[in-house]
Amino acid sequence: MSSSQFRFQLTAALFYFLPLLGAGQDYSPPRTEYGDPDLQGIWQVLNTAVWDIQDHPATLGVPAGQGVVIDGEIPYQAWAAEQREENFKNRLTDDPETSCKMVGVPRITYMPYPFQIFQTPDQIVFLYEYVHSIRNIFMNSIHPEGPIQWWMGDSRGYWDEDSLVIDVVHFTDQTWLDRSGNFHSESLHVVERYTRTGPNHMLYEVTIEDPEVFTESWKMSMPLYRRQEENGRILEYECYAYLGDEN
Amino acid sequence: MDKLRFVLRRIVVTAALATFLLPVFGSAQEQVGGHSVPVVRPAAWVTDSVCSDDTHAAFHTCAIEAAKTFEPPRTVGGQPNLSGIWRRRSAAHESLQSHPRTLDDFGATSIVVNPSDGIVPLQPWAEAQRRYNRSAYIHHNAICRLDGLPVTMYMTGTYQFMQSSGYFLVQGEEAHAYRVVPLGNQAHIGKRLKLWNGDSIGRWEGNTLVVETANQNAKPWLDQRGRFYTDEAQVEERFTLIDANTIHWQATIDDPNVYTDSFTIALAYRRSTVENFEIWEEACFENNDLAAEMFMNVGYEIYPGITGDEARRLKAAWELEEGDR
Amino acid sequence: MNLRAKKFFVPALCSVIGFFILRSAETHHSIAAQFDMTKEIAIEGLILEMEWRNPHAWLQIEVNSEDGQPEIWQIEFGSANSLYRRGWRRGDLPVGAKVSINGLPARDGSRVVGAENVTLPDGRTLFAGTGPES
Repeated sequence: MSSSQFRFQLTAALFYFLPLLGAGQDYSPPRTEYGDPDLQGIWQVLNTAVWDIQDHPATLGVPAGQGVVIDGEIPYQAWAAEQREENFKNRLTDDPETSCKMVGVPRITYMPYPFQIFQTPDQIVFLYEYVHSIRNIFMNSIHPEGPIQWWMGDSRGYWDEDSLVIDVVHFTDQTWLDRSGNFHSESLHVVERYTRTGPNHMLYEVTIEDPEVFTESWKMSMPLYRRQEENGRILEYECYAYLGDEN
Repeated sequence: MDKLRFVLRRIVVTAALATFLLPVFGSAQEQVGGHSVPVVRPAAWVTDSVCSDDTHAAFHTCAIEAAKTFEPPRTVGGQPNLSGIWRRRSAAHESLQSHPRTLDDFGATSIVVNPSDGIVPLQPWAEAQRRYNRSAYIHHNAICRLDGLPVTMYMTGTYQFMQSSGYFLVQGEEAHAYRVVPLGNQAHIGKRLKLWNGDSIGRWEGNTLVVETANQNAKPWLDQRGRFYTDEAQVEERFTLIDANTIHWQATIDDPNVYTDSFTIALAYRRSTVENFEIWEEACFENNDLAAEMFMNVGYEIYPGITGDEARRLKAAWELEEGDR
Repeated sequence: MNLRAKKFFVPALCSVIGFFILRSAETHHSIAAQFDMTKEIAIEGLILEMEWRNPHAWLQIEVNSEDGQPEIWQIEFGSANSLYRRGWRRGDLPVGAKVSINGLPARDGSRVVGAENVTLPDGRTLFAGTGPES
């Protein structure tokens, strides 16, 4: 190979690899009037994670999907892996979403409904269409002392360069991570990262830790897409109001 | 029956006496000498204001004047800054009209400022419907439904208002209720989309935030007395800071199916003085089974709401039945 | 220990003071829709557990009925958040303690009481004041 060919190939290789070194970090997002990266807008996922966060084939009413779990496997403790199988068998009745309850974090992010992000310096608010769930992310502050059980947990946020990092604890054990029976205990600890990767995209990364259920922490990752419609809104999905007169 | 009346009269008299013994909005208990006594706390909101709200009619008049000369603090974007934690002043969710303190009610003066007699101008058929509603149906809030407009603005006691150049967000802790109002020249969503909270659009008129709401599904009530509206109702609200710690809020409800004329309600929000207050999650439906069952067991049903068409049919039928008497 | 579930008319002063345990300025639905406000009920039992939930926290107690069979009664409190804000946590519940409950009976006759006063044997009110540390 001549030296000019080598230089060409080296340059091509650099162009190929450079974006991977700082994936998402070469985009500099616009700022809010307060100077923080602007995450505001109406967002939604386009994947099938709500059905099953791992790879899954299609079945009636359920599309096939590639999993969002990094490395594919969820490190359940032995007893928990069996419980997950049991959950799967009973998912049509035992999944709290079938009885219209709030679905917790991170599942609320990948539910098939849009959500809106609203920002101020001290507080970021996530507004979800699904049963008007709402999360107040208190910035640069500490969790109240537990034990406390909230369906959506307690969220405390801070900026790590252009990423919003949210630490969430104080969960119930009543929610599932998806419709297929992946679950957690009250000791669930979630760390989310929201990073703008372009004008209409955001990278959502989640670390899950729960010493009662998993042998180690594990991660999920997925893109969020900005809803493009003019005059767009989050609407309402008041699930339990549709359940019947006894509710 | 006489004995029952005697005892009930004693209860009511005692309750009236109790109003002198207890702080306005209830209290915790503390142990003193082996028994519980109520803890008297100072008000948890700023009480110093250019306009008192002992009666809402007087507050409304005073506030409109005060707004003319008050220069409000502004956001970075230059708009009057409505942000903060606010306490709504009045138990209007019990009844829009003047009502006394009882064992079940905190009581309040009427928040109806127009008409000036403080009476909600229900058409006669609608007053009959209201009485039926109250006995037959459970109030929407008891079964964790959203409150709609204007009720969202007085159903609970503590609110967080947040704003940006594009949106105004109202959040109450109770049953994690919220409403988000897009600002600017937006159009309403299509008429077929009926929502519990309707569809709101806001704009600034001078120092006043004006919010128009349509597209409601009309399933919530205006108060616990069963006052209602149809899915054709239009609501216009106005939010104006009248001093650093007081917002004047008014809402005009326009629904010719139910009311003889549009009417206006008004109340004050006072800035909360609770340090470092954080809105926390108050789930409702997830753990309300037992209470809901108890309501159903004593015969309440869920209020189905009412469309403009249904209201017109009911009105015609009622007038046919009652009109000749 | 016998069930003492008396239903009797009382001068309502204590119920007016006491009912603020159940309610606050943040109140929502009408109490009268759920509980009979013309009556008082008084029962005793052992604390089994408590659901620290919103919109209401529920205390479960075991009561011996007249025929000696244990019955589970549910006592409705205000929100768990109101307890959390005053510093109370799940671990502060004295499980197994005997409590005396005064409150409003359920309109539908179920074993539910709207709590006005929950008293421990030493006379202290359960969850009174500003928290376990004070």
